[in-house]
Amino acid sequence: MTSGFPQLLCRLARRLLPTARQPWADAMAAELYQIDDDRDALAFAGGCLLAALRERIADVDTRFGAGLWSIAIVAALCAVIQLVCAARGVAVLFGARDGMRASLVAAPDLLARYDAARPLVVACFLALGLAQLATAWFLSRDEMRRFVIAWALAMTIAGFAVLVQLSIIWQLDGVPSEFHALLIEAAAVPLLLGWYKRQQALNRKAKP
Amino acid sequence: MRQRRPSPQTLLLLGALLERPNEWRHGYDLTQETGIKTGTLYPVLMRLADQGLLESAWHEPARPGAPARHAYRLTSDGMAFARDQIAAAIERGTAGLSPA
Repeated sequence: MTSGFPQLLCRLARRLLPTARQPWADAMAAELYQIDDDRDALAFAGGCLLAALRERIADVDTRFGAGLWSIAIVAALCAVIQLVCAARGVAVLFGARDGMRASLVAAPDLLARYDAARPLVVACFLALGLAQLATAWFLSRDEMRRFVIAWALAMTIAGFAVLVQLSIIWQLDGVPSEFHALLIEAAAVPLLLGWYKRQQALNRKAKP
Repeated sequence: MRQRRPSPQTLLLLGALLERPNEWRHGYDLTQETGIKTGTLYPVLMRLADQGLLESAWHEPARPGAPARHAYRLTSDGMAFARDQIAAAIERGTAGLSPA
């Protein structure tokens, strides 16, 4: 069997196999030339594809990459939320209605502090969103040093934003929920990354 | 670290390779001989090779025009491992191995 669908399956298997396993793709493809029966060839080639898929899933680098991408997607989603908040803030600066402001009309002191801090808060959201986008980008490319710098920057901006918020309303009940989400993210991302790195190191050690 | 117990398919393959330990064997022939599906056989062969229990070589094919075939046989460590594991499986009463 030298052509047709089984050959196509074997070529797919070759693409799926991790680089270190490429000689095995040659081994499987060569066996296909020894099979005369079309159905046997198809079953054999289907098995090759399944074997390649299993190896791809078991591959440490693939699993680590998938883990990084998952965290990067979460970081990118958080960045989008921050940027949407920044866009809303800019709209309010240009005269759009602000529901929060309407609820503060009864407290003039609070309203004055809120209005004064708004440009700074909007700038914080914008900077935070961009810094988080950078963390997602560097994470997806496995550029750890740049990721750590962007992450430290994002967390510094987030800390500053929380301080600005607390300067307006000095009570934790008033801290908006996005800051709680940031706090969870700030703890979860380094923990997940540390866990992935440890798993990667252990798996590499276990391999001969 | 504790070594994992080999799967029934691994034991079946080890048994087949141990039957004629000096003979080089090919992937397709092993699927025919043992009934193990290709999708299971090759990952097991890869693991055994990773652990130094299986050696492989490229052999010129009998068919003209066909590419070189990858052939396998147990190393001396592999033979000892296969004997130990099969003996342990018999002791456990799981020697009636099925490729399914």
